[in-house]
Amino acid sequence: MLLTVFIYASIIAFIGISLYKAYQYAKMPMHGRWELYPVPKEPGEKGHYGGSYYEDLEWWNKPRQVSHSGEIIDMMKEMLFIKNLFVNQRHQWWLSYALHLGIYLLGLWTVLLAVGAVMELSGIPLTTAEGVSASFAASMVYYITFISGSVGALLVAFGSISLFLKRMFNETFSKYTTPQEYFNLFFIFAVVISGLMVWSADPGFNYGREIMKGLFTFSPIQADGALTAHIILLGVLLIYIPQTKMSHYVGKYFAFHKILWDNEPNLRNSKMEEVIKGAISYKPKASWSAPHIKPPAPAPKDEK
Amino acid sequence: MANIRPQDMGKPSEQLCKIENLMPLPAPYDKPGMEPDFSTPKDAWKDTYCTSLDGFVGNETLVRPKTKEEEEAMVKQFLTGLERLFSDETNRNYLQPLMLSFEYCAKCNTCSEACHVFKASGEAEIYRPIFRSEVMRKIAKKHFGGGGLLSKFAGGDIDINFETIFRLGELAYRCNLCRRCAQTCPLGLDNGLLARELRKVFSMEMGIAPKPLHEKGSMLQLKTGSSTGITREAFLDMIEFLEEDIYERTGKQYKIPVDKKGADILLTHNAGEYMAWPENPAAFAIIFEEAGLDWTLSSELLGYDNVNYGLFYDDAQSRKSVLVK
Ligand code: SF4
Ligand code: SF4
Repeated sequence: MLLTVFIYASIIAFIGISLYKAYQYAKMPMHGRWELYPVPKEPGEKGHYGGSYYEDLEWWNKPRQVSHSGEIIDMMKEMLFIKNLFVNQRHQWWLSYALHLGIYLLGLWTVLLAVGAVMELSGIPLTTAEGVSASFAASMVYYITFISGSVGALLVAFGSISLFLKRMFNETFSKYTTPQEYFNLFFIFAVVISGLMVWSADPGFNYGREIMKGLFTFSPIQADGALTAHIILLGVLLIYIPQTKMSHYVGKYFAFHKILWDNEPNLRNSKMEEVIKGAISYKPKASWSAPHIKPPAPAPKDEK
Repeated sequence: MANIRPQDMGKPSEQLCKIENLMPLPAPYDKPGMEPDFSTPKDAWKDTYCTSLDGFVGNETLVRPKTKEEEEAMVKQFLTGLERLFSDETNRNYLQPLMLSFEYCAKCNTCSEACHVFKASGEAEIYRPIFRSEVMRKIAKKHFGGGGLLSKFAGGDIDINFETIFRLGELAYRCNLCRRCAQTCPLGLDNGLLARELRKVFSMEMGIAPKPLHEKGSMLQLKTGSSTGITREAFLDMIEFLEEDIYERTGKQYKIPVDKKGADILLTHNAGEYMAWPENPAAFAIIFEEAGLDWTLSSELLGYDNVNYGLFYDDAQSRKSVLVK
């Protein structure tokens, strides 16, 4: 039963701490404008060549046009394919993308394990005594779970250890890598290896569905030594990730949306105007010390 | 010192880096004899300024203290400034972008290829965009993390001594804030912004900023309303001079349009160009005229002198400059 509770706790911690990080960034004071073109939400060609509404005559009298699709497409390219890395540093992209694609596949695998568990709980077994179920839906879930889980895990293993080794042996990379950054990559690798060891005894991931069933029915999970070790390592990783810079899934959102792509104009009666008014009216409780900021105290004036 | 690492910023050495493999200049400067003069730093500078980074002096207000106590005070001041950088009271305007670029760098090294300072220097390590950022991270991680094992684990493994801070005051000015690095960063981070944040510590806390930016830049602008001191009359004279100069050099008589109503293009130059590099506005005039464009310059202050020097190094100064306009 302890394992069931631990798994729940680690999932809640992962989501909770990630959200808390996002909340911390979201509640930071409004920053000075610092956008960087091209801004993909600028409509049409402007989003590509780096133009903006500033090019329109009397733009302040015109309705503001924002291309949400342009922004979403760019965001998807970056999220799904790490486009910037692909374009600007292909060698590194192969390794980094292996790791990230592996993580996405394992995400899919987790969802499918849950689906499979629900099916089995509602009387549609994925496997029978003869092998994989003859039902189309059940066998699809079974095989896609198998493929996403195995390919995902192998990719994550390859990605994490190759990035680790590159950091060790590439002269430039090693100069800038901190002990924690080595640790992070190795931690991921260790978790996947422990998972691959469990998997080798049950390639169909039936143990995965059993765990899901245990979680859904809130009942104890049957686990031997290897599986227990894997669950604990994975749980600790889930709790650890959002506390480190591996939570860049949070940071990247703010870096692009709130800084590089945020060129909202300060128009009269707009929401932005209100935000800026609020920001300007804030009276800081502390200040910097240079003479041009904090002049030496003036001689007392005569009061009349 | 070859094979430099960020930690070496705090190691004693007369000069951390020698610039030797400058990139060849583009045509016509690649021909023999065409290369502009490159004056070597004077030996006497060593005692007055910070030449221990790369031998050059970009920040002449960064003056070598006379005593050990003054050196220590400088380090202390820097650390106080660093604290102000990370506070939402004193750095409200930039806290969010600062924190993102500070926290999330994956050290993927994609930005290096985009940095012209790094490339043109023959890839001198100290000019790699993440070198400066990593020095800053190490100092901050050590200072805020207490310097124990845990902060070393996180990368806080650098000596925070006078030399580290002194060199950093120069290194903060080996970037022109072009933000090309940010354009290629897969995480949307900005090493230019971090360079600027460092300049803020030196300027806003320690009162150290290059004269062309501060004393003769934003301060002069705040006093006279113009960073160059050019009045409208002087500006118009200058345009006349440009026309004559172009005529003498090319034999072509152009009329440079000023305050032309209804023109398609309003061209604004950095005011300093008219003073220091008049050939730039002249080149624009020739190209625009030859292309047959409907364009104009403006003789209003905002039209020929709209630079905000504060943007390069100091939030207080950039805010004041906006207010002046
Ligand atoms: S490209 Fe971005 S994440 Fe990569 S090293 Fe440069 S700043 Fe860091
Ligand atoms: S902003 Fe600075 S570090 Fe970045 S590319 Fe430009 S010069 Fe290099």
